[in-house]
Amino acid sequence: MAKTTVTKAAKAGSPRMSDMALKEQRWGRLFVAAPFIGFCLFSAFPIVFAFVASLSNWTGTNSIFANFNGLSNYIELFTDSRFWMTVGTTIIYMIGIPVGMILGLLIATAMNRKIPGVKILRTMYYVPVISSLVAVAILWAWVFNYDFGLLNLIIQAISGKHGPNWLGNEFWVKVAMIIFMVWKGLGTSVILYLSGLQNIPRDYYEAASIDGANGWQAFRNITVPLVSPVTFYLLITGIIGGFQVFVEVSVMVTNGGLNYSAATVVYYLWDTAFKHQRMGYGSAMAFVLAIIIFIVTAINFKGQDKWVKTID
Amino acid sequence: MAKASSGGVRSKGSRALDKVLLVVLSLGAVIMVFPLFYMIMCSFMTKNQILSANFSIIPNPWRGGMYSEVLHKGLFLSGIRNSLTVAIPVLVVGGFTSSLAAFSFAKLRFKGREQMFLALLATMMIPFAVVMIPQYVMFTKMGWTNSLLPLIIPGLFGNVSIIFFLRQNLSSIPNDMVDAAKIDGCTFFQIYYKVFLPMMKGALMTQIILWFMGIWNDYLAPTIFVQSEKWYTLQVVIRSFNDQYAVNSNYPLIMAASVIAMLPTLLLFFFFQRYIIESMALSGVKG
Amino acid sequence: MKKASRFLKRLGCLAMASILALSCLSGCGGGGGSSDGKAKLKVFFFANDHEKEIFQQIIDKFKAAHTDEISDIEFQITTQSEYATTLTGMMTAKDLPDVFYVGPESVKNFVDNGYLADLTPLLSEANISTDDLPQNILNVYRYDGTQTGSGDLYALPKDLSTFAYGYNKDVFDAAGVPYPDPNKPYTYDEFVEVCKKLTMDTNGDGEIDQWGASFADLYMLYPFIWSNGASFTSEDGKKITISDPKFVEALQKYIDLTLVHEVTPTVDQDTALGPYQRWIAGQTGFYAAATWDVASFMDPETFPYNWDLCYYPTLSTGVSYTWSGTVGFCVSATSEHKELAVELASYLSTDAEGQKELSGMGETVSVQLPNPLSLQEEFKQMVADGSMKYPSNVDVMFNYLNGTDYAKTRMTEPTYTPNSAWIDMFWEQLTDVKAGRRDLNEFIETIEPEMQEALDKAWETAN
Repeated sequence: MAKTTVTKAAKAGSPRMSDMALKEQRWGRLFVAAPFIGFCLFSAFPIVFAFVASLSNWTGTNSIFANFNGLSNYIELFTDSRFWMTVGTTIIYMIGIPVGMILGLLIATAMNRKIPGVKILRTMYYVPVISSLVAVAILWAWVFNYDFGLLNLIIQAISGKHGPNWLGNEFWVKVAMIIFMVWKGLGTSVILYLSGLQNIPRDYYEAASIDGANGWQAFRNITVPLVSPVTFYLLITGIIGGFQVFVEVSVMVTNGGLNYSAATVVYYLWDTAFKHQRMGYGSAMAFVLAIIIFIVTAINFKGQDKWVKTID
Repeated sequence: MAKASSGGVRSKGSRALDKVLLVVLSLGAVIMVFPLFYMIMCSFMTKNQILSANFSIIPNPWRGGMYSEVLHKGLFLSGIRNSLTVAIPVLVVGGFTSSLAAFSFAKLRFKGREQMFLALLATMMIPFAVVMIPQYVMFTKMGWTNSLLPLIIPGLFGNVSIIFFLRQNLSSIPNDMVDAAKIDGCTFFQIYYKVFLPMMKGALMTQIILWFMGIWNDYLAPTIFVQSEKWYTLQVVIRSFNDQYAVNSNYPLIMAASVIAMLPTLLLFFFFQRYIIESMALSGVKG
Repeated sequence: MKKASRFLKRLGCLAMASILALSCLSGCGGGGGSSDGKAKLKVFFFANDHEKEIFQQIIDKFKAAHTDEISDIEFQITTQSEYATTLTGMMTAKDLPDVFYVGPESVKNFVDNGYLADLTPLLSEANISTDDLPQNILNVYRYDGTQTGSGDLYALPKDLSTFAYGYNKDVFDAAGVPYPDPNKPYTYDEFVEVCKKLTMDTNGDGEIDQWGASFADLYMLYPFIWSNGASFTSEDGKKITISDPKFVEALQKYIDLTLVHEVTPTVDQDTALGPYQRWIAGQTGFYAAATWDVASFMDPETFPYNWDLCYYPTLSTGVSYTWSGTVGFCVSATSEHKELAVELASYLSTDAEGQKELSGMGETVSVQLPNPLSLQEEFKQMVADGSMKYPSNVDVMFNYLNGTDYAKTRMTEPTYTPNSAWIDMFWEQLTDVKAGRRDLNEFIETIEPEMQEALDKAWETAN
């Protein structure tokens, strides 16, 4: 509510700003100058370069300028079924984002209590985030193993039937990847939520408890809305990062899995640009992907007023 | 029934809930901590057991000595030194520039604020795969490739993800605190430094730990931008123990090195979580 | 307020100034020459720990022998998977090292784009003879401006590796099966017979747990195809030829090993424990043993079984085929010290001491065969009298490499095409065929035009 008033005030002041507002504007811009200069120095040139390359048949060894082909990379992309298939797989993997957020918030809420040994527990949940990928890959290869995997042993014990071929089946490999990525990222969302929980004043809960709210109601009506800025952060970075997943694929399956079923769009991009030396085509792929990400992000930013609560 | 989910009067029911949660969380923790356990076990196995056996967990036979071998590799120690050389200036300077920018994006009013923020965010949307080569070209032209500068300098200008998180964090602090401080005659920098920086301490610490971990575990950029062994960072060193042909890779050694490499991050997290979790007392936010 | 502003401005200026200073400082240090007129060389390879140490020794020795001409040699290495990426960066930045690696598949591309120096005149000028190197290796680095295989030389071999076949003696002994003849490859039928005898349930739980062989398609289908006189592509690498009946027959026989004769693990079993892991675990009779594998397979901590080398089975041609691989030392076309660089490349390729170390004739383990022909006899002698750790059928390696009437090698088809996109799709979909979920003829029919399209695209992009 108050947010709208602020915007209105800013708008009203825009034709002729007061001295104070002008000063604020100057300082505000100065304070964001560092990341902006950094952006101009280290990202602007590479992005322009990659864009020019996306208009050519650049292989990494030939000359970009001698091999311009206009928009033909982009045109090819629209009929490249493999590109759209990997975009689809990438989006399917994003099912893991809400799952990870819900689990992360529940665990963080539990860990925010004064439980004995909670410090060690918090550290333990952080282990997957910092473990070496080699170890993690071997571990999960074992969990998902068709014949003697942990998961299939459990399934066998419970149902008496042989579990699915997790990494060797086009459908199950996606489920396996989602489980793996949720597990790997859980530690990060837990600590971000933990840090978000610290901003909730304790007296909110005290007031709620006086009003007779139970734990679940307090969680729903106080915790969830008040950590929504963190949720929004996790959602946006989850989407931006989720569209760019590729390391996880290469450690879990070889060559993108059966019929490329586990490959994500950035995995395909690496294959195209570096394994198959079509750097120009790969760059075009990157820009189409970036546009998709940008649109999804922008929609989320537009929609955030509806559910992201801020204290005013 | 728990009356309050945090703090307040600790009833019997609340303590019972604590016990249940402890059990559930501990079970989860076992799953989470398994890779570390597995890495430690592997570091005592023979290569044959790691490569072939049906995922056995207990080393048979036990083979020690990998840890001292790792620590006696000169490259490993210089890798730690190089990683720290990258991390420290980046975290200190980058932490400052990021938090300052976040403060400005969240609390100061200026034209083009949202657009500038989205533009910064957009830099995260281009996959590294395509900017890697032009960045390499740039660093070569600047003559940086034979040093750690390609890994340090860009970080000094701040990190978009951190700016974003801090901005979100500050959005739950009332705007009128800026106005109150202005009336008190504070400069904008003072408002940042004296009022808001203490308030985002916990969030900043969280992000700095995550960033440290990112630098510590970063592998791709260092291998591409740094070729001289002298400047290898820790993960590049560990990766160099690996071989293209799995059979030639010394897995026990890699595992031992990875375990040692993990310890600093774990310890750091264990001791610094105080700053993350207890930052509330400092924030002075009254509901 | 003013103070803070001045502080920030100063900070900004300082940051900018220091960046400029740093970039200038380090930028000025670049360039090939140094003040005393001595050369500064840069070399860039991929190498494992072991190779790296040996290369460093060779380079140090070379430097010591050229102290009046060379001030320093900067030795940079990376892993094999990152090598091509970094090299692309170097090429784009026009900042190539003086000596680096090139694979036979890149010679044409790199020469056409002006990255490689022609070694033929440089070698004759420096009076370096290449007669002691196997000519068939040198030929893959020759290029006449339109085709590789003949013409001027553009690289000197770092190695020539063979993807030979090996068998686990312990598995043969336990099954009471005589070892393969070291001078005569099995026919396909003989191979199937032997494999059947080795495929069994060793612990009596009713499930097969030992197989005659296990196959990693990506590397191990080639011997079957080639031995049947077929190939993935036409000789010029432009046309896909997988619907050739000889190709289909070879593929059928390869698949039959799994589906009909059941002498390999099934596809599902392969996902549980990879073909290579089964060999390491002693569960298969045969598996590939390439030159770079030998050291590890000789190490009881890695492979605690007795084993030896043998040939892949033969199909209709009666010749056992496998593939070979190589990488070579080349000199940058923009190097300011080409004479020294070519000398260094030759030194790395042929220096007797270095070659002995790399091939296992010295103190350390073997990662390749010695390049100079003059060392090959000594190498075989050392294997024969047991003074070095190597499987006794070492002739298998040399016969494949030098070519005999029953054993030959060639390079894989993607070596001669601009990229491997066209064959990667074949490998991906082959799994379903090998699992019996897809009909072989339907697979060939569907995928051939797709592969042709990808191959056409590759050539179109390259030209």
